[in-house]
Amino acid sequence: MLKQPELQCKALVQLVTEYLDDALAPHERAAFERHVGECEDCGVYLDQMRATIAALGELPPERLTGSARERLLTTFRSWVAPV
Amino acid sequence: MRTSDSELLAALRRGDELAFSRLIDDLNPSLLRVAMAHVSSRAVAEEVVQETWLGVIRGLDRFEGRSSLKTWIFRILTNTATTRGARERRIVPFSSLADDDGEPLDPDRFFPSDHERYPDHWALGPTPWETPEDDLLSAETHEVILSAIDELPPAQRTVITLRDVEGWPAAEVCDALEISEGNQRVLLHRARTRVRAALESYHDAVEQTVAHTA
Repeated sequence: MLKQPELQCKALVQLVTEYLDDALAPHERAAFERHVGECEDCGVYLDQMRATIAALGELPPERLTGSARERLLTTFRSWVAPV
Repeated sequence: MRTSDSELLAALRRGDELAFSRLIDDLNPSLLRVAMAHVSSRAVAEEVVQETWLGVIRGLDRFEGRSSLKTWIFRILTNTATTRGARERRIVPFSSLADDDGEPLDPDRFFPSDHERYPDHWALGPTPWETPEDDLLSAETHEVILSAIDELPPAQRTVITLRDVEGWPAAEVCDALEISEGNQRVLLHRARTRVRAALESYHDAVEQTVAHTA
């Protein structure tokens, strides 16, 4: 049987998003996890990608200014329920 | 049409102001961020969002529910922002995924493929971030992330904003931006790779300063 080429670090880092989205084929997923289990650098890299995603989710929300919001509500009132 | 959508739509058509204010509070953060990906300033982005809502209010009676309400609103936003961006000459057509901006991760960090002992292995592996978890929540980290996002090509910026900042599921992002799942994932991955790299440079700089002062 032909041996599958081993997954190397350079290719692994390209697969992180697919891995996290659970979009890898089962054999790819297994190879990914095997590699991360044995390679400290790739383990650190994966942790950092997870930390990055978590930090992105913690950005404070953008908000419209109160007056802009008020103007919209006024428009809604006059448009949808014309007197 | 989804039940929640048709209920909401009926409420909006009735002129239910509470429903409308909930909807704008719910969607505005995402709308603003996506608008900012298309135009050059926060002020213009706010105008685009305002214009979008006016379009929504005017279009309520015509909306047929072939897409979700959210998708429909984002299409209005994208159209408005595109027109505005074109006027400002900033716009890069979203469909051109020729967002080719070079390698998001420096290829020199790996040994070459023909290296006799370590082909395609890390030559310069990542240094663990020795900072407390809390540091990722600091205002300074937010600044680093925001400026990294700002430097991304527009399509990457929009996708990472919706997926990771606003927490949309992949399917909704594809739907709102009319891109395939594969494209969405490639854009997201390149964007995340760049933001991680920006955080890495920031951490390296902080650690050097600490080492220097110690």
